[in-house]
Amino acid sequence: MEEHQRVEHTAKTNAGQGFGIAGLVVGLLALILAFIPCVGVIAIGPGAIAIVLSVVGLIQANQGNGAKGLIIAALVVSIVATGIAAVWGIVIGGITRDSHRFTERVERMVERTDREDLRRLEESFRHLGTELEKTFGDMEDFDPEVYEFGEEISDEEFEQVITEYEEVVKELAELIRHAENGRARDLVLYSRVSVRAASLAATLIRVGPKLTEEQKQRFEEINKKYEEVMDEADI
Amino acid sequence: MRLIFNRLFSHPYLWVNFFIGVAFLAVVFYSVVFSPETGAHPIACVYTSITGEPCVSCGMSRGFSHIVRGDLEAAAGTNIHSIPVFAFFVLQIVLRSLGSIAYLQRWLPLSVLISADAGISILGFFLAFSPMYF
Repeated sequence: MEEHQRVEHTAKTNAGQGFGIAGLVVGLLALILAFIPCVGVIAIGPGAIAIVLSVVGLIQANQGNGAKGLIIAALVVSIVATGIAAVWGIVIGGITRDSHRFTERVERMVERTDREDLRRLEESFRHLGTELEKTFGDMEDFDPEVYEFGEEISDEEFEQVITEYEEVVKELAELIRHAENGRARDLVLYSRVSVRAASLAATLIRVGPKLTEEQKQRFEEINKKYEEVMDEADI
Repeated sequence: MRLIFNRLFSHPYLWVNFFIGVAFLAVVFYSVVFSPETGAHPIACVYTSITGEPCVSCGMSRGFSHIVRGDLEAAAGTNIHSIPVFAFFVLQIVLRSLGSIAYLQRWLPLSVLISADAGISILGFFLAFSPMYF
């Protein structure tokens, strides 16, 4: 038995070792290359060469009773390297395909956009511009100095100011409730209405000392309602 | 001469050490030849050229060129991963040389030598390359 084992051991030749060494070297280098993202995909080339070298080495070793340990190691390393490089290929291919799809989608959208859409878009921008001009106009008109602090105000004038203030605050509350629609023109409108509301509030504060308790209470109620809307909207 | 050659390449381990060592020396040579300032390194990033996006290893060649010129700060600025990866390449040159000498001088049994070599190489590889991915 021992004699038989010894004969089998000594009978191993160097068949396929040259290809095995070449396969292992190229496979190891391909493996390292495969882990560098810049050139990872290139490792497919040396990886494939290493597989071929290893397989040739394995065939030779089989035919010539050569040692197979190194050749199998070379084959495993080469397959792993080629596999990783192939993953890079799939990743890069996927990104390229997605970017092409996105470009095509944008092109199709542009093609689908007809003259009517463009007209609507232009009108929308023009409307936005008008609203902005109005807002700036209101800001220029903002003049809380109409009444001196503590000045008396007639009942008619108070009624006029508080009614307008109530309407403006209602409009503000409505805009806040629908804020989630995200329309740009609502944002401009909100700015314009806010300026008007601030102007009226400043007027009412200035005449505040001379207001009756009833008038003060009405002003506070309007403010309270506005605050409730703000709280609901979590602003 | 033939006797020395036969002795130097008497085992597959020595062949593997020789070729792997030469490959890593070629990387060092490549880094010495090409200046980091001119940015004329011939190996372009395949990932960027295909996808148009920069990848995690972009600037590594320039980083290597800075390292061989002793400018580690500039290398880190070009690509922070260039330092550990280059250190791994240098470690490989040292390991290939030491491994071959250890085999020829019979410092260790072959199985122990190859196991230690593989272990150190895998650990070094993980330490150098893992920051790029994790």
